[in-house]
Amino acid sequence: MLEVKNLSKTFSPGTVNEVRALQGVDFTLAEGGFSAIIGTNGSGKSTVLNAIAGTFQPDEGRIILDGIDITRWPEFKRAALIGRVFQNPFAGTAAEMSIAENIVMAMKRGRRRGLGWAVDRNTREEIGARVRALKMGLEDRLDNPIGTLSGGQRQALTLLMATWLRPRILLLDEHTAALDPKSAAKVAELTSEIIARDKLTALMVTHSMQQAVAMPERIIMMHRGKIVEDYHGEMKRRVRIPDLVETFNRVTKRDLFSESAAVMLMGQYR
Amino acid sequence: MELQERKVDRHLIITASGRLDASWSEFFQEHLLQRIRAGEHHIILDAAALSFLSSMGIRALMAVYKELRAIGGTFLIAKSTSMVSETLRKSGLGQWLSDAPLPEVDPARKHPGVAPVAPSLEHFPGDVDSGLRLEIVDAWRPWQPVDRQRSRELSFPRDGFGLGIGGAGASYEAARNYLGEFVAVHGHVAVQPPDERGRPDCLLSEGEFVPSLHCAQALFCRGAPGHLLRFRAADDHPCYTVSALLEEMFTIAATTTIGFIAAGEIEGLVGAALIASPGRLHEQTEVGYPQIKEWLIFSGERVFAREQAVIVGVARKIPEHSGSEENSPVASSSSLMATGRRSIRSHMHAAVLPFQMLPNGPIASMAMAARLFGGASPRAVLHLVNDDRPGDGLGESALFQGACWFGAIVEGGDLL
Ligand SMILES: Nc1ncnc2c1ncn2[C@@H]1O[C@H](COP(=O)(O)OP(=O)(O)OP(=O)(O)O)[C@@H](O)[C@H]1O
Ligand SMILES: [Mg+2]
Repeated sequence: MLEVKNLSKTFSPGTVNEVRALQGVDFTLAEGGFSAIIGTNGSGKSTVLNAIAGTFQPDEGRIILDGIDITRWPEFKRAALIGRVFQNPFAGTAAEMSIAENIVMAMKRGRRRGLGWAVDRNTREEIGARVRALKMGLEDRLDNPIGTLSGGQRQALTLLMATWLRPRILLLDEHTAALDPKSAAKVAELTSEIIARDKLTALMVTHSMQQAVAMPERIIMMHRGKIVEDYHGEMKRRVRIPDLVETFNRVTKRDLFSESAAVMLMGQYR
Repeated sequence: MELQERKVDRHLIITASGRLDASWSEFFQEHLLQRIRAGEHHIILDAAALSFLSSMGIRALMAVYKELRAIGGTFLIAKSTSMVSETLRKSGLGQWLSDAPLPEVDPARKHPGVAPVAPSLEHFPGDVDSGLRLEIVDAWRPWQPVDRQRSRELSFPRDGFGLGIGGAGASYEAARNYLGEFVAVHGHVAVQPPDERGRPDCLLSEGEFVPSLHCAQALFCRGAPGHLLRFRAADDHPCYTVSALLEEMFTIAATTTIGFIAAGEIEGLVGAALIASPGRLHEQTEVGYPQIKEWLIFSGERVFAREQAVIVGVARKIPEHSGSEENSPVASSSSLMATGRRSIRSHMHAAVLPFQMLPNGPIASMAMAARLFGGASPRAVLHLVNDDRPGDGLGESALFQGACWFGAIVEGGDLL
C-alpha cells in the first residue's frame, strides 16, 4: 500500500521560473491496485512519480510505503522496492549488453555488488521461460545486444526487468507513448497481464484516455499540480472517454475564470 | 447521390437521385434531420431517380421518419421505382409509399416556392387575463451568509414555474450544504447540486407528490402563462438573444413585469453555477477574487450549442422616460440583473437538455415540459449572465428557434 500525503513541490522558488508543480497531492493506493494518472501537459504527473521514486525531496508532505515513511530515503535505497519504466525505450536498458546480462543486472538491483554477471544454468532457464512468456520471440536471442531490438521489444524487456523482483510498487511514465500503435498495444497488454498475475500495486501515467479507461481500476486526473478528479469503484467502471473529455474541458475552463470575469459575475449574482 | 428540394405549401419535396447506400446514408440522414430542425415537418421524398436502397439507406429513412413522427410531422415516399418499392414493402415499411400525385405549386401564386417555413415570429394569444402571481424568497444576497429566518421551503406544483437557489432535504439544516441553482417548470424541477462534478437532480410532481426545495432565493410564478411566441432564426436574423426575445414579449404583453419560460435550440449559453453551497457562507467568509473560483464555475465561453435550453425567468422593463438606469429604483434595489438591453432587467436560469424537436405551431408549456424533462435528464442548470466586458465579453445567451410562454405578473411584482 502506498500513501501519498499532502505532497507539495515548487521548482525554482522565488525566481521568474517558479513552478508550483505539486500543490497538496493526496492519495492512497490500495495493495494490489492498478491506477492511472492522466492530466494536461505539465500538470505534475511525472513529478508525482519522481517524488515517489525519490528523485527529489518534496517541500512538504510524506510518502509512506507499506507503513514505512520513506520520504527522506535516498533514491538508491528505494530502488529495491520500486520498479520503474519510462517513456524512452532506451532509458531502462544498457544497449551494448545482451538481453540476459541486462536481466541479470535487474535481478541484482538493490543488492550488494560483486556477484559478477556470470549466469548459471538455472538462472538462464528462468530467464528463458520468462522471456518466452512475453511472446515476442526473444527467447532465442538472449545473447544478442539489446541495442539490436525494436523499441517495443526493448520496452517489453524493460517492463519484465522492472517487475522481476516483484516491486512493492510499479511506476510507469507514459511507457507506451513512444511506440508505434501496434507495439504500444502489445506492451499495454503485457502490462495488464503482469500487474494482474503478480498482484502488483501500480501507478501508470498515460496520455491515452483509451488506456486509462481500459486498463486500470482507478483514474486520477491532475491539473496544475492538483488532483481534480478521482474515478474509482463503480464510478470508474462507468466512465467512458467522452466523460473524461468533458471533465478535462470543465477543468481547463477554470483557467478562463479571470479577474475581469469575476468582476462581471459579482455584478450579476444577486 | 444528389439531393434537390423545393417547397410546396407546407411540404418540402426532396428529390433524391442515385444510390442510397452505406456511403450516402449518413449524408442523407444528416441533411434531412437538419431540414427538420429548420422547421420542415412535412417531407415528401421524390424517389423517381432513386436507383437503389440498401439496408443502411432504410436505416436513414427510419431515423427521419421517427423524428417526424415524434413531432406530429409526416413522411412520404412518392414515385419510387419498383425496386425501391419492393425493398420497402419487404421491410414492412410500405406505409411510407404514396401513389398520390405530388402537390403542385399553385400557378396563381406570385412567388411560388419561396414562402418561408413559418414566419420567424408568430404570436398565439391564450387566456391572457389570468396573469401570474409572483412568490419571492429573498434570503440570500451574494456573498453574505444565508438569512436562515427568511429562507423557506417552497413547493412546485404543476400550475406554475420559477427559478432560484435551493436544495432538497427534510429540513433547512439538512439542505443547507446542497443549495444550488434550480428551475421549476410545471411540476418538473431540475436542481444543480453545488459541486463541479454533479449532474442536476430531477424531481417530478406525480400523483400526490409535489416537489419542494428549501430555498435561499426563489422567484415562482403561479398561474398559466397567457401568451405563446414562436420564434425561428431567419436569414436576416441568425439567432435570438434572450433580451431580443424579452423585447418581443414586452411588446406583446404590453406590461412592465413578466414571468416567462423559453424553450429552444441553443446558439450559445453564457452563465455560471454555484460549486459550493451558499449555506456554507458565514460572517467571516471573504469572497472576492480569486476566492470566487471556489464558489462559482463560469462557462468561460458560449456553451451547449445545438442542445436544448429551457430558460425560466422574471423580467422587468424600465420605462424609457424614467430617467437614467442608475437612478431608477428598479436598478439599484432589485434582484434583477442587467441584460443586453439597457431598459430590460431580468433574472433567469436555464436547464440544458439533449436537443429534441418541438412540433410547430401552438404548443402548451405543460406539454413541452412533460416532453423535454420526461425524455432525458438535464445536463446542467445555469444562472445566465450578460457578459458585457469590453473586448472579451461573451455577450448574452441566445437561441436559434423555439417557443416562449409568458404572462404579465399581476401580483407580487412590486416586491422585486
Ligand atoms: N526538475 C525540475 N526542475 C524544474 N521544473 C520542473 C522539474 N520537473 C518538473 N518541472 C516542472 O513542473 C511542472 C510539472 O511537470 P511534470 O513533468 O510533472 O508534468 P507532466 O504532468 O508529467 O507533464 P507531461 O504530460 O508534459 O509529461 C512543469 O511545469 C515542469 O516544467
Ligand atoms: Mg510527464
